[in-house]
Amino acid sequence: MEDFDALDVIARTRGKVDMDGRPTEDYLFLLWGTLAAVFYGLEFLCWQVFRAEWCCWLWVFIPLIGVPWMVILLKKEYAQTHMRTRDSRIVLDYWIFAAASFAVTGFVFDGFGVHALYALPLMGLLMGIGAFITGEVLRFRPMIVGGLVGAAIGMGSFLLRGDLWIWQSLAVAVVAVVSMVIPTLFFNKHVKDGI
Amino acid sequence: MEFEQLNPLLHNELRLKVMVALDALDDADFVYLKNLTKATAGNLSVQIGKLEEAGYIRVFRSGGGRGSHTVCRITPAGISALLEYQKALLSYFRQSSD
Repeated sequence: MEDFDALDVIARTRGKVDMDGRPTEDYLFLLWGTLAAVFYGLEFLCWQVFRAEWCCWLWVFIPLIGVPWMVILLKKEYAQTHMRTRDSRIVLDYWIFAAASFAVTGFVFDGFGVHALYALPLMGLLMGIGAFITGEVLRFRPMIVGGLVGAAIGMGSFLLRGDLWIWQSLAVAVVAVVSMVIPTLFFNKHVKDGI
Repeated sequence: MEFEQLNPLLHNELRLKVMVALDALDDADFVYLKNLTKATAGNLSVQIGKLEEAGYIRVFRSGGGRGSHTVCRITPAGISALLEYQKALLSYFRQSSD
């Protein structure tokens, strides 16, 4: 049998891998948060100006722009790091699930013309919970708080029905800013400062 | 005094480094493992092959030639083998301190 200090090898290797796996700047959150904020904000403004049904379909641009952009960013990141940590996999899996849910609920509810009821509050809620889970995984308090506030706004927007339904779009835009954009900007600053 | 048998497949510095790294990560590619272990490409390739043959890791290969990309991921069998190895290793210290 080979003669080497196995415990030392285990400890050193694990330490090095932990260092390499430290979270770096987050651009995926910024990407999806900004896209959601911009297009749901535009939906709201569009409806205020044109009062046209097509305004409710502006959200389709979010996956159309976001998915290819995300694939490019992930490939670029893997090309730099050459590995993926378990934490980033958990977060990625949740967001793939959430994005699929957004798309399905969007098409089903908008397709049947019942967008005024549950689709947008559900999206707001999923975004808030996602930010909360991500914050817990990263142990980053602003994201945890932002996620909780976002989830609360998402749930609160269930009350915006009837003539108020278009305000649900604005609520989702606010959730995106509160739970994704702002915490990510804090997180990136935190990483850059090396705290 | 009886010592637990150390898994000979894991009791190799290079293979152990690869297994510990993959145990801590979701997946890693050949370049990462090569930089981490500071092994030569040939040696690392041989040792990865042995771990794959034992069912301890899964290797996903894409492309061919110079542009080929190899990604490794630990299997449940690999995780339990590494756990057993660590337990066996610690038993040496426990028994020597008794």
